[in-house]
Amino acid sequence: MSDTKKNIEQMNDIQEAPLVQGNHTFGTITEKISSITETPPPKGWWIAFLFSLSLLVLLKVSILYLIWEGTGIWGLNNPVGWGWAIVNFVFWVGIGHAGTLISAVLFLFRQKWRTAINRFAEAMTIFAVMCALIFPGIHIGRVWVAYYMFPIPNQMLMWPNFRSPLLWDVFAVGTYFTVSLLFWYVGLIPDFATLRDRAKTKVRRLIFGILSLGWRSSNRHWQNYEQAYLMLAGLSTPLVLSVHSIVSTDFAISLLPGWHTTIFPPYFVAGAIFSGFAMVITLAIPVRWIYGLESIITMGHLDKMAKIMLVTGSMVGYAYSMEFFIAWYSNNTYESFAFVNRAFGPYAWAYWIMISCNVIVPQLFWFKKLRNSLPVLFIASIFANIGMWFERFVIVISSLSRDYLPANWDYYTPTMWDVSLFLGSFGLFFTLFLLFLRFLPIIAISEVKGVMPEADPHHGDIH
Amino acid sequence: MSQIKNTNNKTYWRSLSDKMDSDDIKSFLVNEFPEGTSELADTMTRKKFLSLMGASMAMAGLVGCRKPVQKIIPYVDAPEDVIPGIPNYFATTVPIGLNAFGAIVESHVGRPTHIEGNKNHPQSKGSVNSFIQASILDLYDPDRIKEPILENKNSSLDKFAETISSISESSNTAFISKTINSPATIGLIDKVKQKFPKASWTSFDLDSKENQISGIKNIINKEMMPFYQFDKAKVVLSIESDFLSGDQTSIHNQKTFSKARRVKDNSDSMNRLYCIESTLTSTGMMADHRFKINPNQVFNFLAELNNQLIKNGLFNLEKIEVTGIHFEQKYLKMIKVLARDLVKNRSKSIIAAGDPLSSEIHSLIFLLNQELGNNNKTIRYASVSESIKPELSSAIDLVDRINNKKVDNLFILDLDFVHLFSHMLKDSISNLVKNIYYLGSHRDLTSIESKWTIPISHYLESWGDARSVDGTLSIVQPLIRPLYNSISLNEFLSILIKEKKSDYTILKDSNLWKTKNKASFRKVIHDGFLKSSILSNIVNVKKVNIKLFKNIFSEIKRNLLKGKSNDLTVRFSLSSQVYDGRFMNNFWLREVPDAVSKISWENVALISLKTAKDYNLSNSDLVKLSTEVNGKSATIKAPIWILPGLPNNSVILEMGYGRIIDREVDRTYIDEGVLGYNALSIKNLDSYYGSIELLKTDEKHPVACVQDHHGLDIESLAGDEVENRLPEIIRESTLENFKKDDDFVDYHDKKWHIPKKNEDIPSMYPSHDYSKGLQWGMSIDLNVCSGCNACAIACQSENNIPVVGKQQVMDGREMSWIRMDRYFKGDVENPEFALQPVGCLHCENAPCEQVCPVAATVHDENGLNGMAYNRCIGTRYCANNCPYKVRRFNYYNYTVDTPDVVQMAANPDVTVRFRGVMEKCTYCVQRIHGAEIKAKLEDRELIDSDINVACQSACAMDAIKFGDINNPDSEVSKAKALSHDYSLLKMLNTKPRTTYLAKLRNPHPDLVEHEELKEHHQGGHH
Repeated sequence: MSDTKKNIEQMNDIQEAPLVQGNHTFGTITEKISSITETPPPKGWWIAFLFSLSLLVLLKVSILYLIWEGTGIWGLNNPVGWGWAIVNFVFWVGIGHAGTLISAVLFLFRQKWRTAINRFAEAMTIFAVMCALIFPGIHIGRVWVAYYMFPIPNQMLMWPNFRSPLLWDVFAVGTYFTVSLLFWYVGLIPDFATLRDRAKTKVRRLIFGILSLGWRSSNRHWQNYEQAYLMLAGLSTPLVLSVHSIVSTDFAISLLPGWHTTIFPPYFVAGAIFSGFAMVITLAIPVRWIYGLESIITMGHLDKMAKIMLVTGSMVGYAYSMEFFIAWYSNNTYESFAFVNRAFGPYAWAYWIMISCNVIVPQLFWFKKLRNSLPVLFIASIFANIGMWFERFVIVISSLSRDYLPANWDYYTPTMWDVSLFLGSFGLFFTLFLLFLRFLPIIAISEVKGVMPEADPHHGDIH
Repeated sequence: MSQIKNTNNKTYWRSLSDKMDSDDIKSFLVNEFPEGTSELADTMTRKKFLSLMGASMAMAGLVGCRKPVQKIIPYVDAPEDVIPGIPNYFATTVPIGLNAFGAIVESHVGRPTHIEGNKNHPQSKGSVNSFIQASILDLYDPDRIKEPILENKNSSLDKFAETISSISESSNTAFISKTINSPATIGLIDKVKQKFPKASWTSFDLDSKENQISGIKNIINKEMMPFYQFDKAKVVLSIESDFLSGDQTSIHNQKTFSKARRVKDNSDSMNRLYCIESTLTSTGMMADHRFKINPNQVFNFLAELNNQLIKNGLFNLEKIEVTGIHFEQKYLKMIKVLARDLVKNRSKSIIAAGDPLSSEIHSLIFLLNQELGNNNKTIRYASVSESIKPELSSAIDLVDRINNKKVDNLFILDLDFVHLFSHMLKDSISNLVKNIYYLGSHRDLTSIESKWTIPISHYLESWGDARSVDGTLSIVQPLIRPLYNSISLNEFLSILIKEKKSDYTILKDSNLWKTKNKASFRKVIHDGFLKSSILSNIVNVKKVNIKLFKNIFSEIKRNLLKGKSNDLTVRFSLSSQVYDGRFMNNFWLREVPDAVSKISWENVALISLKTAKDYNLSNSDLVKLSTEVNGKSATIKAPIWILPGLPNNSVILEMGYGRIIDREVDRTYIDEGVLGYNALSIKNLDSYYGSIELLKTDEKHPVACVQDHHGLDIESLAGDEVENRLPEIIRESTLENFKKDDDFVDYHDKKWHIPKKNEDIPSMYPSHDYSKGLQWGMSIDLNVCSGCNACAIACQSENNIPVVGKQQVMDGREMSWIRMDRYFKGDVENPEFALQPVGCLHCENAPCEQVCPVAATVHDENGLNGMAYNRCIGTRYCANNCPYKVRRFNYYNYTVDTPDVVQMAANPDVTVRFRGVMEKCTYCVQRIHGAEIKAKLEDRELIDSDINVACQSACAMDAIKFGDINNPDSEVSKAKALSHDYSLLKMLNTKPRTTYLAKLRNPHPDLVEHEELKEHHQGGHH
């Protein structure tokens, strides 16, 4: 008997740690996650929500003033035609990537650990893409004719210009947003049904009843659900690669030194995943603490995400060094200057912030101890996002401020409106995210149940 | 790359900071702009709103346009009536100082919109300068006085006439006017003088030729002005003379100078320009050898030159003893070579002396030119005896009498007396003179101090005549009835003599024109000038016996400057923007960056880098400048700007600025408080030079400089790169090297493995076929461009380009479609200069078109890169992707509160762009299509000579050629076929339609310090 017990203990040692820790049953999982939406939120939520809401108001004011007065309120000038708005756009699109990667790519690769984090990572994706979509819309000079970018019939009998990467952006980001939203929604259906069934008020019953589309948890429903989910995962997977590749062509297709680089698509995707995972960590750590979800979002999850950050951070670092190498190797003086200027020119400060945050900080994650330290993870993830924002800043602004003809060179300084828009976009993001935390199941209840030992048909068997 | 650099042995730099090591210069450039300068103040205030509403009420009376009542004769065959949409062209004349320029004015439905030179007029030859071009905006100046003003209240002309008639003929009356060279006006003035026999008449102008005229008069006893024939000169020496852009005959000078400067092929010759100056001017930037001298060295320079000329065989000249500061060896060598070069090119050289020099020096220059055989050959002389010219002594006398309260009635005729003379007056002028009658255009300080202010009509509103320097008699023909209750100078004078005639009658009845019969008068009006009068004032001067003028050589010893030689000197110069202050309210001119300093909206105190170091000054530092004027100590505050190539220990101050005008209309984006400083308040009337004390203050004053935005390049990194890059951007050589090696322009393309012909550039895609039909293209000759800004203003006028104000210029948002890039080369103390006008180059492979998501910028079949403003959504992607950065974005709605009357200056053929829209040079597409329609109506093929684009016709240097590049006989094709034609950034394969002709310099072989070893690069650099 003791031998058997020993065997079991040995087997437990060599097995991976269970994805859900603590003494959870299906029932406690349902209760744990559903109750968040059913009970009044903690005080911390209110503070965070009011703060985010005020930032959202700032966003609104900034946008209204922008539309009233014009893009002149920003620090843009003649050589620097794109400023913080485009930096923010690329930043937010990048953030979104982790969600899709977690939910779709890891799903296809049967990475079961994703279930604990995929729901809010996907929510993060959608909100990040919403933040991103604001910027291309408002950064143009005449916002009221933004619809010219869409191929809709018009009195001018004009198509948009299909050669322009900005148009590709419209399609790429549009598709990405649509598919992500559908994917998220499909995943939510069984959980909506759970909430509907637990609903104590008429309103909740009505809303979740509509949202759950008549889900009865029948075998046929599950079969259709699994198929739809798999197909959407298959659809989303190429989008993970395509969206940021296409966003990178905004720069790579142009002929500006520092933009015109073939390395951009893979480098942008790596950077996006890097920043996306950093954002997931930034969000997961307080969420699991506030809602007591440590047993579901375990240290093992954070450890894995830190490893992904290490990999993608190093890929980004490789890209940085490759850019320099190619600039030198090309023997193109304009190209070499663009890069030397980045590192040692007037924007050197931004460049070195970028290098420190994106290349040096992730190297901490070589050490397990640091990967398992919540303060280190939290701070490093924030640094990674600062670094990734600066990466876009360096690419967009340092290249534009010094291009071909030296007579045009100029320095770009942001104004308060550039800053307020950026802060405001965080307001939008966190407002939506906090509403999501408050009203929707923040963890995919049905999926988590699926990876619990109890869900395994062989659960409890000893071979 | 390094090899390429060595072959030219040129080091280029964009601004001081590029040139200097970072630590050396850092302190001069940091903190140039305070934090947050790019933020714009809140724009719409209640006051602004109300004043705007008020202004629109006030303008409500100006319904449409008013056609002149008198018969005016269109330049071309007149249509039955005015046809809306089809402009008429009328000849008129722009009088400036002693000269008058023939102009053709475009008029839309009775509303003049654009000025071009009259091709047949000898003083404009089809071109204009920036002042003439911009003067149309003065007509529509919303701040003009609209009604006669009596002591701050609106009054009437009748009441004024009544008041005038009560002036007793024996009272102490004085008149002061500008230079007057109009026969009709002079006739009236004679009558006024008869009417007021005790009155004095004074004429005053900052831009005065008095020294020159009296210098020549001292020799030949005739009032004469030199009239240069630069096309006949091989060697030109300019001493303190900005004959290419700061002179009253600048258009004639530019036309003739460029003829001798332009190089067609390597067998061609070109003139050589030596320039000696204590400022930095456009002419100096053009020079093959430029030597900056401190004002107190001018005498020594002349003495050395004179003595060297004697050594080279001009034995009639008297030796002048050199005293004071001696020149360094390098300068002495230059003077030797210069003297040799002048003598070698006897009767094919010119010594041109500038207005700041004393009359003694002008006498000497006359004699030198005579001994060089230049008089009557390369320099002709124009009699100016019939005009009313400025006389300094009379102005000083008038000021004295005013100060002693000996003037009871002062008539100020169209000059801002207070701006010019306030520092000479003991008290405010209204306390010194009982009755001041001011004929002026603005509510300036003079107007506020005057009892009566009578609004003066613009020249486009009045009839008159004018005599050019060469004697051509021209007619000033109105294009529009006076917009306000204003009268012309002639009408004003006729009120004084109680005739009160209209200016048309005055002209018709004047001695000169009353003998003409109706038909011939019509012809004169039609042509704009009297053909038979061309060159009528040009006379041959007799050779004088030089021995009679020995005293010239001895008297000249009188030093230019009193005081010690190591004092800080000051040199006053006329502004290239506001001229003498008369264009203070002309926002086109205010905003266009100065040709040399690239500063817009204001004047600064220009100093050299060494002087800045000596006084521990950096850009934008506010300094106190003080000196003794008229026995009193006077001080002004001015911001410092460091400019390479200025003499050390000297400050350059631009006059004309600081003129206060009461503005009626506030405009959101145009900075109201930008005035500049009034340099005149520390200037003694009798000299352009002086000594000065400089005191640093702790304050800073931000300066809007379009090229060195924000003191950006403080690292040597950028400087090295500019040096690396510029030989490829501005391709240049010397005439001598060009003769040996006529494909020098291709070195840089070979480095990139780019073939000479665009067709041979390999491409993955078949390129569009542009071999058929008219294909528009442009060629700009860098060799003759003097950076005078005439093209920039012409473009602004033709294409309705908005003015954006100082703050926006500082933020880097100037809108000019054609900009003048300026680079320095070589030594920071004695740099050479390179200018490059850049507008949209209309690339065949346009990078902007590719990236626009809405196809708002597209090519047409004639090779134009078009902009569809109403399709543009303003992503600014096109601007980012333009390697030349010629696209301009409307960051704000700059025209939001353009007053109605200013809108009348707009060209109706060109859309006024709204906020959020990209714009750029269109090759004047409206003119192209206008000509197309005209050709179609006339049932003929369009030929390229039907079209002159605005910059091209303005350019007096004829540096810009435009036309059909498919036609081998067109001017532009011929220019592009020259061996020194090159494309800017050709390696990008953009295939620009605008190409440049490389700059050539013609240094004297003996003065080339390092003989340039030209290695031939056959594209072998890998």
